[in-house]
Amino acid sequence: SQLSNQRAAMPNIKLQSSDNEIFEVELEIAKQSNTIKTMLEDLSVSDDSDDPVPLPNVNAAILKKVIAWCTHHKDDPPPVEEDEYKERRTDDIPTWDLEFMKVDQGTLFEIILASNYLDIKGLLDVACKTVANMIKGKSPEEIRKTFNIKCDFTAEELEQVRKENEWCEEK
Amino acid sequence: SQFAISQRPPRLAPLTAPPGRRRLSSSAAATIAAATAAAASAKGAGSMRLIIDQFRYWSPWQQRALLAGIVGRCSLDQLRLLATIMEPVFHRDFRNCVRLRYPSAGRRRDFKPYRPPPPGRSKKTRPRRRISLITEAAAAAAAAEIAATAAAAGTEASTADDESEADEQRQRQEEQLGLGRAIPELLVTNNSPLPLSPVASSGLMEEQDVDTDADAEAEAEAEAEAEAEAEAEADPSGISGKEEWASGEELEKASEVAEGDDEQPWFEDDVDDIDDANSQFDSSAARELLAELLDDIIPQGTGEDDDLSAANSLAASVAFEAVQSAIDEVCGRSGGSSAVSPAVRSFAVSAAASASTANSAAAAAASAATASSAGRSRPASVSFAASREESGGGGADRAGPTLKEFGVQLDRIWGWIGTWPEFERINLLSELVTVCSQQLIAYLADCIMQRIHDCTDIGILPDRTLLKIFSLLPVRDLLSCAQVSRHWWVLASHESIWLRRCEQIGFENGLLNLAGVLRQRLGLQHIDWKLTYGELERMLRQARQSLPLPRHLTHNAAALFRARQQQKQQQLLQQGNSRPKPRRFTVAGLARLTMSLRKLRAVTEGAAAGKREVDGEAKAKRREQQQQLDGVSVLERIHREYADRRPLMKPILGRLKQFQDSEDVALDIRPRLVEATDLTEKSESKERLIYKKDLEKLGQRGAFVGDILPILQCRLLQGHLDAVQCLQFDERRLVTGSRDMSVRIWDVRSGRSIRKLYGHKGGVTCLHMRDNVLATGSWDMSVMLWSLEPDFRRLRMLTDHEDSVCYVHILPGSRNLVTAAFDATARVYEPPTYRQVALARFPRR
Repeated sequence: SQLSNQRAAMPNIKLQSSDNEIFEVELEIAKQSNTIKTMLEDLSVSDDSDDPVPLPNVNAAILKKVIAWCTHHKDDPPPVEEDEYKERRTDDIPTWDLEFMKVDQGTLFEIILASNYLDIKGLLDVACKTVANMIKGKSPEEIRKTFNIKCDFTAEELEQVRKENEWCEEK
Repeated sequence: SQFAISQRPPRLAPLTAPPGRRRLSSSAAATIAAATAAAASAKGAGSMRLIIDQFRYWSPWQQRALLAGIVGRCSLDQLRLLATIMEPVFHRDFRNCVRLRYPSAGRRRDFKPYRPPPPGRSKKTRPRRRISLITEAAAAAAAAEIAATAAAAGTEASTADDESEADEQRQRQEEQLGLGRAIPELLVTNNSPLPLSPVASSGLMEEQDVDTDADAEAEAEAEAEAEAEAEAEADPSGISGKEEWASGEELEKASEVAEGDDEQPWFEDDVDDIDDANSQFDSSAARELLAELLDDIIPQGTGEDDDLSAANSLAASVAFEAVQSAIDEVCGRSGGSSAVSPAVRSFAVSAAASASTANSAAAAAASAATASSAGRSRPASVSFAASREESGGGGADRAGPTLKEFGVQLDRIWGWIGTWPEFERINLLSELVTVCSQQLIAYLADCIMQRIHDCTDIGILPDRTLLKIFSLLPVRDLLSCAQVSRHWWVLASHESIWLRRCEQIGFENGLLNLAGVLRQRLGLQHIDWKLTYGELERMLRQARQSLPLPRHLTHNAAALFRARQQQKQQQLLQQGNSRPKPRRFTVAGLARLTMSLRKLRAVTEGAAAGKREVDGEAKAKRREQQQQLDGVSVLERIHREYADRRPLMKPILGRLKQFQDSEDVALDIRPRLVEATDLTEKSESKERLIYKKDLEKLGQRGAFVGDILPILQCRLLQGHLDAVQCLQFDERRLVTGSRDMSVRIWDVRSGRSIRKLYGHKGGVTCLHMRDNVLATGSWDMSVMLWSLEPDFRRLRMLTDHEDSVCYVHILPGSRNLVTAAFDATARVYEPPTYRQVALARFPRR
């Protein structure tokens, strides 16, 4: 209860989605988004101002998800600067995030767009990893099917590209 | 119950004149304010009904704009749900059926009239005119219908009124759409605010019967509408701010819709007239304008068709009178009066008539005649049913509010919708569907499908994000991605990804800042990091392969290297996925660094050379040249190529002659284009002295025979990772064997590496090529035979020698293969099986 009291004492911020829905979020949670953070710093908005921060690129459904993610991860340490040379892995997604990312593709992409716009690195990473996992192990044709991509290569080009990229298959 | 539209939709516009004369928008604003208040009081359901009511009175493009907007504001899940619910409505077969029946939906010019045109009309304008007339007659009927629950087109006069109004409004619509920004102010002022546009109809009215008893009501209705219109018309305001408003999505959508209507020559003249007139429209100029319009009506209206002359003259006379009074009215009102007089109403009628008759008065009158003579009940509604479909596609047959008002309305609606929970939006959509025409339903279905598709399309992600995703993928998947589409190919080959991977390789093998070193080495040359990565990978893979250790001295170095690599590999494996720590350079590390650098330099330079070749521009250029040169002999090509430079050397030309016959011979003898000189003669320059010295030496040894040609480095073939130990030319190909255990085949002309042959486990020491068979000998004591054409494959591997092979030769004629090795033996093999047929042992030293 002490914790909740503390939280209640924390300043809140209002976020307005593209469809004008307003969400009230703790400032600390909202500040996981670098965009909001810099916005607040630049505008030097006082904490008690009641004006919602407009987020014209994010709709309510997605903003809800983003806020849920941020709330869950608010106590996370700040993301470590990733090592340049480290082989990036995609199988290290925490369980909660795995569950969180169990959404349809459209929502997933919108989450990516939103986290991109809001500049929430952790969420973007997780979402990108999820997409990468969707690509992994698929043939080009399967990838096309999965993501509704039209193959715009001519038959000739396709052959050429295939040859060009087959060097790995010797492995 | 969903179409509880029997009641008159709520009138939102006050019928009194706006307080500010110059600003129609103020009245619109007042209306909106009232509407908002109404919406606020009624909340969700109320505003939804309001929207639906407004929606029904909009023109199709406006309806489309709303539908698309709502769809854009719904979440995907909800849309899916809706799509599922609506499956029977959206069903593809159904839509196809609609399309088949009205194949030209959306393209009016191909549309064939339902009724054969009466004789004696110009072919060009007839059909379209007819359609719009049908539509209008029908629309008029529908308007009456809506107004009075079940009304027919009443007396001839009222029908005519309605029709001409419809016509005018249609025309206005078209002008708005077609003219884009230059929307005549008259049009602005002509329109009634908010949903009072008289001629609008709902799509689901088609099958309802028409009650013929409601003449009076219809009349009254038409009057009321006309009043509202006239009021708006008489107020020549709302002009400024038009252009300002003319931006935003609604207009975009409008112009999209308008595309189909753009090329409609029949009203263009008219539009111009009105436009010109409007540019100086004010109360004093109104008289002139109207007089002009009147002039248009009378001669044309009376001069056309015999059978319609009566109707025409009637319309014309009505119009004349009306215009006269309207002029007075307008002028009178310019003082600020806001009274609405019947005269003004008739002005609207006459203006409509004038607008329509300006180009095809006869047709307009014909519609009147048609509608009136047709008994104005059944036929009208039937033709309505047919033409409704068409008007949905054409998009401009019905008048809604003007752009400006529409924009205001739409903004307001978005405001409402924004505050709704999501299911309400879906509700609204499903409600709207009930008042949509089939065309609109199809459009809605398209919208939903498109949105669903858009959202599952990974293409909505920005490239940077895609790159990030790609950078997470293993190489194999990356290469799969490159084959997906052009866009992905570009992204998956992006250097940022591969640069990082090269650096990774460097890091794993103890080289920090590998990319930096490579860049430094290559100066400003472009580095294809993907190729570089491929080479690095291959190199490492080769190095990792475990081999029996050969005995030769040089083997030791290779073995050492291999062992080291294996050790490293094991280390990596042991470390598993734990993060490898950056290593400090020890002496051994430095040695390794130099070694790796030497290799890598070759790699990347080769890659760079390859890249230059691939470069699109160069390719195009080459293709162009190739096309120009096609059908010209090689000799001529060379002549041509060098014609504009220096005189060609005769000896070379002489030699080239022998290649003249075979066209596909690739010649890349790029002579330095100077007069050939005998270098052994007296020479002045220091350079030549050196040459001379060398040549003399050669001459002494008797190794030098024949002409001496100046030599110019014309190609640098890069790609081998280690010393090249042997090579052989033929006319098109160069085969090189290297200590990096590979054999490469190069296209002499382009300098590209066309093939790499891997197989030897040690450096290639010797090779010989004859007629598409290539023999290579290696430190690994093996001799390999390769087929170079038609495909590259290994024919045989001969492992008889017991030490590294130092010489291979394919004899002409018998094609026997002779090999010699450090084991002091020479062997002869016989094709095609390459059975050993002879063995010669030499005494060891």
